[in-house]
Amino acid sequence: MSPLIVFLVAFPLVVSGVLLVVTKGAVRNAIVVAACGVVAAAALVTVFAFGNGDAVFFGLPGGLTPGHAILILEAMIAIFVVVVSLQNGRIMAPIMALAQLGIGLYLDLGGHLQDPDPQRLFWFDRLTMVMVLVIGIVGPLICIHALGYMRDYQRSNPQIGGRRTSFFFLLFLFLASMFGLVVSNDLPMLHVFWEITTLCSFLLIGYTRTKETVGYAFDALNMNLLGGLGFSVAILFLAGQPDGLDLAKLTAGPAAAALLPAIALLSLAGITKSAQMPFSSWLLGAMYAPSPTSALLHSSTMVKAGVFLLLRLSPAMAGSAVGTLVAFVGLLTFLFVSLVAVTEQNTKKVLAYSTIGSLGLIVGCAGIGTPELIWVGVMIVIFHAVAKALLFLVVGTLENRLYTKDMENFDTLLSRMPRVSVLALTGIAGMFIAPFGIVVAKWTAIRAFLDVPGFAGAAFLIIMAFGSSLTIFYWGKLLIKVLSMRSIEPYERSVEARVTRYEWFAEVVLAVGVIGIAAGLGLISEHVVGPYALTAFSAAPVVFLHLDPAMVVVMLVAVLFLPVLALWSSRRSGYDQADFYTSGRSANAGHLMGAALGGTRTVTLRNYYLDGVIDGALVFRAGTLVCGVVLATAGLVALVVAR
Amino acid sequence: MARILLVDDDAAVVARNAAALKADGHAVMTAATTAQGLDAVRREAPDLVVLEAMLDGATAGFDLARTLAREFPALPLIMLSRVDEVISDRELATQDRDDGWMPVQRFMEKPVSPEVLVYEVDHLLPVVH
Repeated sequence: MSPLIVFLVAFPLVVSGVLLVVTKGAVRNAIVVAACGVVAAAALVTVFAFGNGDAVFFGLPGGLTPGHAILILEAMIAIFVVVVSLQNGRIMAPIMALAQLGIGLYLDLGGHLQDPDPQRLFWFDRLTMVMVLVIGIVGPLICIHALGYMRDYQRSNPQIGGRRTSFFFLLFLFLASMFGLVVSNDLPMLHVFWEITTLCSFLLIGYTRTKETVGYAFDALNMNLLGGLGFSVAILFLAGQPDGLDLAKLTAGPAAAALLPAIALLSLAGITKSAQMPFSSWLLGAMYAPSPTSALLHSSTMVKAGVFLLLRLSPAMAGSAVGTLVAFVGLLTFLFVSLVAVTEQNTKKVLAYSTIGSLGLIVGCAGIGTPELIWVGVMIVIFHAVAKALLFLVVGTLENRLYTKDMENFDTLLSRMPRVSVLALTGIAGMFIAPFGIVVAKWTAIRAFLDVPGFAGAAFLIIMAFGSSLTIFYWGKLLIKVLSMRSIEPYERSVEARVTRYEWFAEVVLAVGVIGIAAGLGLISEHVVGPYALTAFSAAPVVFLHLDPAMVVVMLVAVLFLPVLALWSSRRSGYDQADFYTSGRSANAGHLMGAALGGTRTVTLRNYYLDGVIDGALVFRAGTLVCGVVLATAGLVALVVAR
Repeated sequence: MARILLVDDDAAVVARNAAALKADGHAVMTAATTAQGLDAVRREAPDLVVLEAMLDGATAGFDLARTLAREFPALPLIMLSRVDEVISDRELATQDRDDGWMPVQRFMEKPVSPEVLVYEVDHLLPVVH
């Protein structure tokens, strides 16, 4: 078993090293494509090797333990953060990095760290299986997409000093650390991988090295290091407890009151990583990174590390006040960001808000922690990873072809780029139309919230209802934009012809994946997610999902009908189209009209973004404040209970 | 409000882009060849130049961009192009570079919608001023 895991971590690491010295584009493309194939194959082989997914624990080959290697890596991370931060005149990041290193030094050199059981360094179960498949299949697809995307990105922005060598180095380094993160059972080891993903994210957000993006990169670094510091303090706290650093034993059941502060600190780490309020702003800044980065780190995998940890912690915090408060942070985040998303015009930011919202739902499920809700959480992890990766990649393609991320410019996309539109439709449908998993999961969540006793259950239900209706609004809006049509000039056809084959490959495979996992919903539930939810809570078997296969087929046909209809109608020509007519003096060819008392006004024909109705920035600040208070309360409650 | 020079030999494109930029409050000048373009920049000192890569019946827009970048390093340049229609894969490969293959701030293959051009122009101007 262990050689496979070692390979999963070591191989991308070796590839990343090679990519750092390869500067010739054609060679890099070949290496990336080949390496992506190997990573995907290795992930599949690993999953099959672990059979049905019952929990397995194992160590390094030859019974090796990490020893001081963890401390050395921590020191390297801290030194890097200090050097880069001081070069840019930043203070907070070095303080937090050095504090973490201090804790590491105290524990390791002071002899306060028990040696981990060499046979329990790694933990592989069904949740690990899900994460390994997401990282190992969605990850390589995004890397392949990036080959085409980055070429056009550099061509369109010649003044951005290109660093594609380091870009692909970071993508593979990130894949290696993500694999390490999801298989670790030893908390200090998990923590090191956690911090490496933070660094990758930081460097990728700052890719263009403009003042603006460097600022966003440091926002992300600061917030993630804060979570990392919380993680470190939790390790310091747990190091004194028997088996405290063994994640599986720590989360085998409800945590003892004395352990709740550590659980709360680990939850803080999970909440920062998954960009929940009050730490959501870093993910919005992260949208300035090239789109493959957004797809890989900031939607499919890295932010999922946060909810992965929270799902792991779920049995330990379920039923406690800390768990309930964490759930409130997640669900309130979902509600607030869904409202803000309605007011946003930048498509990448809408996707970011939607990502934060989906992660918020998972956090909510993990905090409450019933088998049904864990089922919901893992289901959203799977469906969101595939559908959202697809959407981010499609937006990346649109950005390179239409030079815009503004949703207003995606009107009549079906006429201009029919095939890309169909891929976009598949992704959008995957996010909010039945029978795709997220809708099924939300429905199950509503059902499960009914069973949560008292005020909390009712509150969760209301949040879920309002939040979900907002998501329907913004997804529906995007859907309408993409689906609208007009007759186009022949020269406009060339736009789609320039989409690279790398992009087509990744997007088509992901779109097939979205449909495939919807069709296989029952199987995934029965063999992977259902058994996981039950074993995590040692619960009696229950039926999570009763879907009539005939019903699923009918719904799938209905959903597949939409893209087919769209493609068919986009091929038809000869539509009559009428320009809008407004009475008044037109000031120019656009929407500027002469106003009654002189001057000009822009004619507004619709208010898709609820301008003047909702102040997005205000809602965002309110959410940050409310969730900040709830999170602080969770910390206080943990301390009080522990005493 | 800024003074924008459009250098393009496609009159329809120039008309469309000029209308959009004027509606956005800019003053627009136009030129159809590299010689006219260079002359207009030297004489009128615009705040930003939008130029086509395909000029004078060949890819002379690239040379114009290089000349302008050398003579007026602070002048922001946006290149709109239809070179993808005529360029070979081999030539395309020479543009696949990380160290700035062309001294322009933004390079966009046509068709580029006028709204997008206006956004790019507005986005580039405050950086300079």
